[in-house]
Amino acid sequence: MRERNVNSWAGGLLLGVVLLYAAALLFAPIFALLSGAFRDGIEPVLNALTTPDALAALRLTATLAISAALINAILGLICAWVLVRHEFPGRRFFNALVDLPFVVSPVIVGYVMIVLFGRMGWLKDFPVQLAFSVEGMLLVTVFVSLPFVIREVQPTLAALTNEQEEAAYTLGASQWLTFRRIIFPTIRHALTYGVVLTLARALGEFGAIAVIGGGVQGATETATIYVFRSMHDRNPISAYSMAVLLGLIAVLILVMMNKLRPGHRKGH
Amino acid sequence: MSIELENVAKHYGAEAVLHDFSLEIPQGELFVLLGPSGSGKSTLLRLIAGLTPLDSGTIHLNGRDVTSLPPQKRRTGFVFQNYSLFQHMTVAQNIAFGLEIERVPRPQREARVRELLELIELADLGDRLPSQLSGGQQQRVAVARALAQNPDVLLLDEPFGALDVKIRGQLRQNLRAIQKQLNVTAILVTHDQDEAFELADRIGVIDSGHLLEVGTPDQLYRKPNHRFTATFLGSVNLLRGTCNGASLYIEDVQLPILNGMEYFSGQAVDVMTRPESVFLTRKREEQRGHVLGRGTVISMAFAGPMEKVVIRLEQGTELQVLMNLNRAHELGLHLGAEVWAGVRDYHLLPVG
Repeated sequence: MRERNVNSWAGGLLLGVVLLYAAALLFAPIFALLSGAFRDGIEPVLNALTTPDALAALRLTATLAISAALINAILGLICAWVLVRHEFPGRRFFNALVDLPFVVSPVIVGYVMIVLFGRMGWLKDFPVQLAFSVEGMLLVTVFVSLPFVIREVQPTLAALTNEQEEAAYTLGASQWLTFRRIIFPTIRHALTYGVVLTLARALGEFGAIAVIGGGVQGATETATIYVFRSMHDRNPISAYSMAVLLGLIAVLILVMMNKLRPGHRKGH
Repeated sequence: MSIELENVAKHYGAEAVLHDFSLEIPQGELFVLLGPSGSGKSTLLRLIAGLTPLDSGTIHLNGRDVTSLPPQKRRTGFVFQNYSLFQHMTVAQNIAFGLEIERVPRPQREARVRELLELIELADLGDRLPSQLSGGQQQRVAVARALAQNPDVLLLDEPFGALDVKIRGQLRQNLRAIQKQLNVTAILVTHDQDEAFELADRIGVIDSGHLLEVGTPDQLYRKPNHRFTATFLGSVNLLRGTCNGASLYIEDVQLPILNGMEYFSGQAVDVMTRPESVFLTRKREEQRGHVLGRGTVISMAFAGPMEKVVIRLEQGTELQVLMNLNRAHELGLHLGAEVWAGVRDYHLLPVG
């Protein structure tokens, strides 16, 4: 590590810009959020968070986020495996397609789902009702958070040479045992990191689930939609309280991510 | 026979990697498969271990037909070029992995691991991770892991390829000692002729998927049957000549035929001599070899205790000569010096 003196005026200017940037974008909102929420002490906050609607919204957010994380953990692992280990026509295309959820606006994702599965949609006879339902919301949540696990796991899988598996085979290990004892321990870290990212993304999702779920109070309203509605209903304490709680969860996830970040744990 | 390969063939797509490969290796032998890169030698190891399926032929290990068995059931120990140690396991866990799969009870397992760690002289490093070891140490761990289950054969794919020259020599000696001590049959694949000479009981020379010939290092070096073997195993002079029942002619120089050379009677041949078999003198009457003619020194290079000299004979042929440094000084060799060249040992190869 090399330390540099910030003594030149150019260095000072840069530092100033960074501080100003952080103050405007990070510290000011956090301060505003906390002072708004706790303006009348902690009691109104707790009251706001324990109303039936708030609890229902939190429950739904947790359900969606955890389910999406689990589904993407498994499907993402399989996708990463196939993309790294199998040669098939169109592999490069599929590989590029994985990033689609990163570039498409979630609102559009939700809208496309309505177009497909809504009452007038092409697939309106699909056996599971997806429009304005929790199932539909889960589907779009899975979609918008799809790339994280794949993109985290892919490079670690690629770095694992075939020869380690072959060495295990010659020592008598079955394919399943080789996966469990040799491959999984190597990718476990990246997988966890990808799952945490998925969780974070799913918790914060708004556009896609608002469109496909319709934001029905107590039914398809998540924590983020709850904040949005409270704001509109001129109920600032509810909006502030839920926002603080979501912010707190976000900070926890941030801490977890920093502990898990690939490369941090190398060499034990 | 510990290893029997019969008519083994392998293609990748339309390209044949191994042609009709047959080989028998007795118990306890260290067999070195020597060939340039891309000659198919690593593929052969993978076929024996069952890591690559073969197209045709049969493989027997210790009398057991393993041709259609998966790698898990073949009882081979495999050492990969880059060792392929399990990075998240300690040295001891790496060595114990196969024993665990065999469900060897813990006390025996631990005893076996200790025994192997002593064998590879890393008794104190059992708790280290592979990343904390030097390349040479990792290589020894890979050997120990491959030996843990007492395999029928030990297969080594360029095991010294990733190491620097200085420690290779030491590790070769270690490997050779371990292999002899355990009396395990082994095939080692390499492109390095020095390595082959130093380790092998027998060498098989492979080129473009063909096993050209098999023999002891000495046989292959002095009396190869193929031009490829002659040129691949060290430097060589090849002089075009003809052979009749009684003599050998290289242009107008006559040489006596030696044992076994009658076979080439009436044919054009390549007369092969190793650089160290060429004898240089200042005067013709000092020659103790069969005189090839007079020539001029056109290059000299210092090679440790030896001097590498190239001379051009009067009729235009160039000859490589390897001689003792003292001898070169005695002769007072310098560029342009006139010398007489003779050969003390030579061998015939069919032309083509």
